[in-house]
Amino acid sequence: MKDDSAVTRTWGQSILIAVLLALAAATVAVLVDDFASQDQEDERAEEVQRLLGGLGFGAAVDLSLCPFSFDPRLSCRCAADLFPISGGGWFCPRHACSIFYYPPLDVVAVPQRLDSEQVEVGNAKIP
Amino acid sequence: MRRFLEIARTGVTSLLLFPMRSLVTAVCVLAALCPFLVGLGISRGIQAEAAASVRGGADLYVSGLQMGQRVPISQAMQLPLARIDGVTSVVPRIVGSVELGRNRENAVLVGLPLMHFPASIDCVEGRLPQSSNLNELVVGVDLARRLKLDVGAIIPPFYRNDRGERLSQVVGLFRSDVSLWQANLILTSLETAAAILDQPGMATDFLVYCRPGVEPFVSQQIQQSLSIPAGDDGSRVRFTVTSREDLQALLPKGILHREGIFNLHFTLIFVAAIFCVLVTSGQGHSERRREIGILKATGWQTDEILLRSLVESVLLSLACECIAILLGFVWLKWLNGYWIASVFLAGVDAAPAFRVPFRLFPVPVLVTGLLSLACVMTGTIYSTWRAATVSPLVAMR
Repeated sequence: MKDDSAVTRTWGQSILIAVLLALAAATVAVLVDDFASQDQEDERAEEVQRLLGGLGFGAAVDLSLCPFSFDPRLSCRCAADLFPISGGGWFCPRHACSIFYYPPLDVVAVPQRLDSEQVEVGNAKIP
Repeated sequence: MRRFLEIARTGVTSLLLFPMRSLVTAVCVLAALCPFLVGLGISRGIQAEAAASVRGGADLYVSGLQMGQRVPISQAMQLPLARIDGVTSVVPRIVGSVELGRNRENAVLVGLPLMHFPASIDCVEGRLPQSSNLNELVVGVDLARRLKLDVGAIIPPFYRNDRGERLSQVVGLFRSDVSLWQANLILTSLETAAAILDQPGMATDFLVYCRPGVEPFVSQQIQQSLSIPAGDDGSRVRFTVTSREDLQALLPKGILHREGIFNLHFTLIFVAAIFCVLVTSGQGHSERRREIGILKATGWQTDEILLRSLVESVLLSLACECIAILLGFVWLKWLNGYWIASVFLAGVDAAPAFRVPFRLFPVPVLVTGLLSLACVMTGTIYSTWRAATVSPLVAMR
């Protein structure tokens, strides 16, 4: 009886180790497949991006509520930040639980040269 | 060394001694680990697609800026932009939002000049738009499925234009495995997009391609030397230029989504998982405490008991990690992120028609491995240590 329980225990250990090894092998196979397909996916993605001129960046698939979360090139910050209340970006449903957060693009209004070769900064004209 | 291996083998045995405990612990950890791995994998997939969007896009994006918001500018600005030294080509682009169909499906309309389209392309089933009496459209796969469109389908006018509306024809569909942003996309010619949005002669932005290395110079020239004529009411629109470097600078910050709700939610979930493991390991599992008491009474030292528990924890966390990766792979690849894609991606159905982007290797796998180990070990080692440091009589009670 003592030998039987020892044999059973050894048999159980062997099965457990075999199952763990099988899980590890399957996991490695899955990760190799994932890694190997990355280059091909990058190529396909770049092809369509060259066609569109670079469109899409965030975790949204349309412009309905927040163009910024679709692509910061279309809107430099969340539209809800300005309307209907200031700072409303914190409540934008497109960002809640966002798994791909990025800050607003810094946009600076550079002094622009006028026809009269004066540079306008704010309300002052500087020759 | 042999003693070490013998003690380690007892760690394997201890997994089998309490199979229900091992199973419940694994389920608790998997319940937290699997959705976290899937979410992280989708985040990495989107990041890879965003990087491709930056790489495949233009060197500079020029649009108008008024009251802190981007506004479209006249297509007439294409020529002054093209004249800047260092600029190789300038492509006007229209990007706008339209609604079509009975259910007012939201779509992203993109218009580009016909000469910008290549003769053939692999990512579109059908063909690209050409000059025609109809509005020729290439539609994204999700939108096509919802509107029941196929190549050759005719769409009645879905827009208003004072100059009149035309029928539209679907001449191509984007392939489902190219990009998630094509899901609700309508690609057409620049003239057609301007007619649909009723914005003749305007462009959302200009795609500026430059010689390598001169992008900062060109950007400076655009912002300081060019001006947009003032409107009839005296309103002014200024140029804003976004470079490829500006967008690439956003990407690393995208990885650090510790500021997001995602990590906050899962931090709470992992804390709960640790408490569950604590309960199954010793705090609420009197048989394990008695077992440790018996081991102590038969001469086992505290460090030997901890080593046994460590081996048990490592094997259990390894099993949880492997199962989480396999389940995550099945969920993302074979089930295409069924339901969970709609949680993490805004505006997506429970069963998306496009391929949900994901990357499991290397960061998501490494992070979930560490979390799995931390959860199992924190719950197991602590309760084992508590039981191992008391007198055997108390532990066996």
